[in-house]
Amino acid sequence: MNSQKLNLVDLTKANIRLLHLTWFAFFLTFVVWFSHAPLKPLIMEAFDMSIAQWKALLILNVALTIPARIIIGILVDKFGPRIVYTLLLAAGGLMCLAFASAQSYEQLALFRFLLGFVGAGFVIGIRLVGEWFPARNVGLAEGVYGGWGNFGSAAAAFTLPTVALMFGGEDGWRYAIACTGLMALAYSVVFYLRARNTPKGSTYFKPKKTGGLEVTSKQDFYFYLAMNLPMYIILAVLAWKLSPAGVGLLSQTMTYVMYLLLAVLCGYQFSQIYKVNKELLQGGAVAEHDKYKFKQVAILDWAYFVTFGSELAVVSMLPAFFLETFEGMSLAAAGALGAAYAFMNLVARPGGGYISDKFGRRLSMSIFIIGLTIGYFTLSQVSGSWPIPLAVAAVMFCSFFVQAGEGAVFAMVPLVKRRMTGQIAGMAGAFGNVGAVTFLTVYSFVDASTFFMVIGGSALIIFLIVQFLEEPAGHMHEVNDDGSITQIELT
Amino acid sequence: MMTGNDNSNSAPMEHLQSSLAVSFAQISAAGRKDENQDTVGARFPEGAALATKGIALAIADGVSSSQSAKQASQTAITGFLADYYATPDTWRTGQSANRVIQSLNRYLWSQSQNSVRQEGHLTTLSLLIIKGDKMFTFHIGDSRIYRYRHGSLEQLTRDHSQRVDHSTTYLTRALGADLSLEVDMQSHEIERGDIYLLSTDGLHDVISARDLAQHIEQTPNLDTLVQALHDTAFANGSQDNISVQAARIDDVGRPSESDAITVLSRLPFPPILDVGQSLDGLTVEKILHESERSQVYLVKRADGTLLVMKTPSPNYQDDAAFIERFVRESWIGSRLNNRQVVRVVEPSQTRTCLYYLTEYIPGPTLGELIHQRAPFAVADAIELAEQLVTGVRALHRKDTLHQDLKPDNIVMGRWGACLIDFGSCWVAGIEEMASPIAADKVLGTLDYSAPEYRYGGLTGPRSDQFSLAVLVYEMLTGKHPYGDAYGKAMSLVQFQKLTYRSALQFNPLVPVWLDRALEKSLYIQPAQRYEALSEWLRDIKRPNPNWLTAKHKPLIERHPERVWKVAALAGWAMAIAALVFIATK
Repeated sequence: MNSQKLNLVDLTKANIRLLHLTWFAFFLTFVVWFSHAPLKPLIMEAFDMSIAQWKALLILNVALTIPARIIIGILVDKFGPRIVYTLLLAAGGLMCLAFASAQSYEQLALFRFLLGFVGAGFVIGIRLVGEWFPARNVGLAEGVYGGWGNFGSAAAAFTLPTVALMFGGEDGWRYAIACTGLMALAYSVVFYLRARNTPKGSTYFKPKKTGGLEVTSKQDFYFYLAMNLPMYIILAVLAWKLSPAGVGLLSQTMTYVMYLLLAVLCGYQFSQIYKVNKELLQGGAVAEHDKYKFKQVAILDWAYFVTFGSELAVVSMLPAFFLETFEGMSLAAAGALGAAYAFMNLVARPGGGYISDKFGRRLSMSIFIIGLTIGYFTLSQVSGSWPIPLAVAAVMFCSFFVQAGEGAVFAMVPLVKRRMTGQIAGMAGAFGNVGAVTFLTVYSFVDASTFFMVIGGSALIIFLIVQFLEEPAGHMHEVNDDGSITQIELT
Repeated sequence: MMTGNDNSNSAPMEHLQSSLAVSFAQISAAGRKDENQDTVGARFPEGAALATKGIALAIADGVSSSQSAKQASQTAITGFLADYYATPDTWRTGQSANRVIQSLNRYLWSQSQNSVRQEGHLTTLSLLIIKGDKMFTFHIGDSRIYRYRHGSLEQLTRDHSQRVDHSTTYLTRALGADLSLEVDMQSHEIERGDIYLLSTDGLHDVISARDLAQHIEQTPNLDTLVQALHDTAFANGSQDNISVQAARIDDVGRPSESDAITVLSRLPFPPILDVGQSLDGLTVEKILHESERSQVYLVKRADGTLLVMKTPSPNYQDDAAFIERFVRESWIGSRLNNRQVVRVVEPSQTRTCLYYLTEYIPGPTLGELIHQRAPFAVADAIELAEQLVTGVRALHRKDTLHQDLKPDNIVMGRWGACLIDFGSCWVAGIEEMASPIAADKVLGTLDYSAPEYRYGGLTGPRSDQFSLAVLVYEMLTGKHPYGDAYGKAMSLVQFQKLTYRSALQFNPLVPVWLDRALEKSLYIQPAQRYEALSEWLRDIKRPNPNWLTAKHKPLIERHPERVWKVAALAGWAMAIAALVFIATK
């Protein structure tokens, strides 16, 4: 409709400089967050780990991100993005160093778990970029931020094995991971010195209501409560996984404490949601123009569950998958091929948003999800007998649809209810992490082929869910030949 | 004899294009008195205002004991009918009317206070606003509003009077009697065939409710009715002025928007415009500025005039508080008429989207000017300050604080410095009224906004004074009076640690008295600043005799660290000398 122009090399513009500064911060959080994935064999060897233990590590890596998103959201509201991103980078760097120097599996697990916090960096940048860009190009700017930042996991997979081998020795992986930690630490200082919360001369606005999403009907209230349950359920499953019944990282008592903690957290969140929606539940009327359907939010959540959730899960295991499937492949080559998945981020994510804007939301979303279903079923068939280029092509095919789907979700989030964009985006993001934990938990029970099958199967279900998505209504504007604007009301 | 003060005094039958149709007649006469101190008036707007504002009938009875009774009642009626229709469309009826009444009250009260002859400007005021399918009454004093429906007459208002003895009654409430005023408000649904009657005591004191009802029943023609009521009152021996207004609902309007936002949500946000595109006959020439909150375009009207169009950012499409503030912004500009404040231009075509237009001032902005040529010559800076004070005082006179005075919000135009951007303005009376919309707390730009905004102190005109002084200081020196630390301070304690840096430090040409005047208006505590902008202006324009000579501070106060360094050095030198002396001995 309108030209989204963004000159990314025009560094004289303060907001372009900030965009580069911010996407790189996000990029580094991803490097740090997934620095372990391509180094699997080295780490397993150093600690004499079982496969189950390794897989538990993968889940731990994404578990804390779910609650961390909420905490980060609150911190950003309170202290502003600049300081929070700085602290997150610094803390991530330090934990990365701790992980690199871990002496036991328990320490390794603990620091991986804590590193999950770093995964919540996305929200901070979204807020920051949103403050700096006018509506004309904020969508594209956020696409660049998200896409290029996510590319960090590919960069890690691509380079870290080589770096580890360069250092050599049995501690090479430690130096490689420590390098990423040091970079994050150094960059936190750069970020603090260069980034600002708002353009010069404007004020940082704090959002009014936080704590829960406002819904506009009673059914939606219960629907919303129910939609929060998967987060707690999956964390409870994780706790069980770590209990003596699973890998045995936690004692039985600790496991019970975890359950209790989750129940308390859940209760607290429900009470927050109740607080925000108290007026509605006590019979307050909602103005007609202010109504929206929570269904839309829920569908987007599930779509993000299967897209971003599967991306995080696959990125964690793909380098190792290549290494184990194709005999005789070097660690560096496996890392590089694994990176093929996240590589697509550079174009697919912004592209997905564009396609969805252009060709109707439900249709594009359906196509993306069908595409990724086919992609994952194909991946489940990959075996050692496949030519490697074909396997890589399959991976890239699959990841294109996954990331286009992510782009489509985030292109639609602001259209559900503009005023609550931040909260809706936050909830979708959380579901992405729930997806990651879910799929990785599945992965801890089955082999890679079945794992891909499960993702494909859940994608099919979500395809059905997506059919309930409604095209957002509103005013559309049309530009006539003479350049005058007429508006068409959509109903 | 008719002396209604409105043009429509002689019973014009009004049939309106909207489905709301009202017949109307009114009469106002001196009766047995020498002078008619009553005023009646009504306004039947056309088009959009009929839907957003409705029809207003107003009656006022100047309080006879006061000398300026006639003037007071006229002020109330003409003031209300003009100002009510100038309130923003976003405000609910109650909010708009109440706000206007309160400001009229304050005006009349101050007239009484300033009156040389000790005359009180007091009046009763009863208002009826018919809008859509509802009517609203606002009432102060002992005039009355009646409703005649299905054959029975009901007095809707309660007289604000107290009987002292059988012959004397006192008015307990009147417009202009006190600074605080409680207005009785009601709102009811209207029905087809309803007749509303507004009268002053000259009429209803001598005609009983039963007789009134009988008259209404017998006389379907409203012109005849008001004349008959007047004649009856006169015949019944009324000693006072006789005024009555009658309105009949011939057709009920569509349900009106009780909520401010529904009105506006019908006006969609304009899309993001590109150069060359046009909206409502306005062609975009250039994108002047874009931010996360709004877009500002340079547009050309069909007649070739360049204007500035500000549109809200689609980011806030359903943010009621944002929309309210955006609309208020245009309204603040439209009620000011001052060379030093940018003029808001009414669009020549009906708006199809939410935006507003102002005149185009090519600039440069004060910010650019400071960047290019600070420090300014003292005379230039003072001249600009004077122009800014004129603009800011125009705002203050409308009970409005600018709250975001900064170099980028000031443009150099034909008449010198001109204030633009009312996005952060605070208008007395709006915020204090209960609004269903929680407004954001808007803060100005950190470096220029007064400290009380950040530590949470009371803000007022002196906060704008502070910002103005920062501007003048920056023009003279290119620096901030408290340095970089100012932008970081958040609490009162942190602010109190800051020290004012004399402008002489950076620009030796600044006279001492000017520096002192700046220092005084830059005090962290608002109470220590100037009482009024006029005093400040006086002090920066010509030397205040108290400050003619530099108050020579002792060296230790001006440069404490240097003094101590020298003292310490001297101490060490002496110690070493002593050591050397002892060693050589």
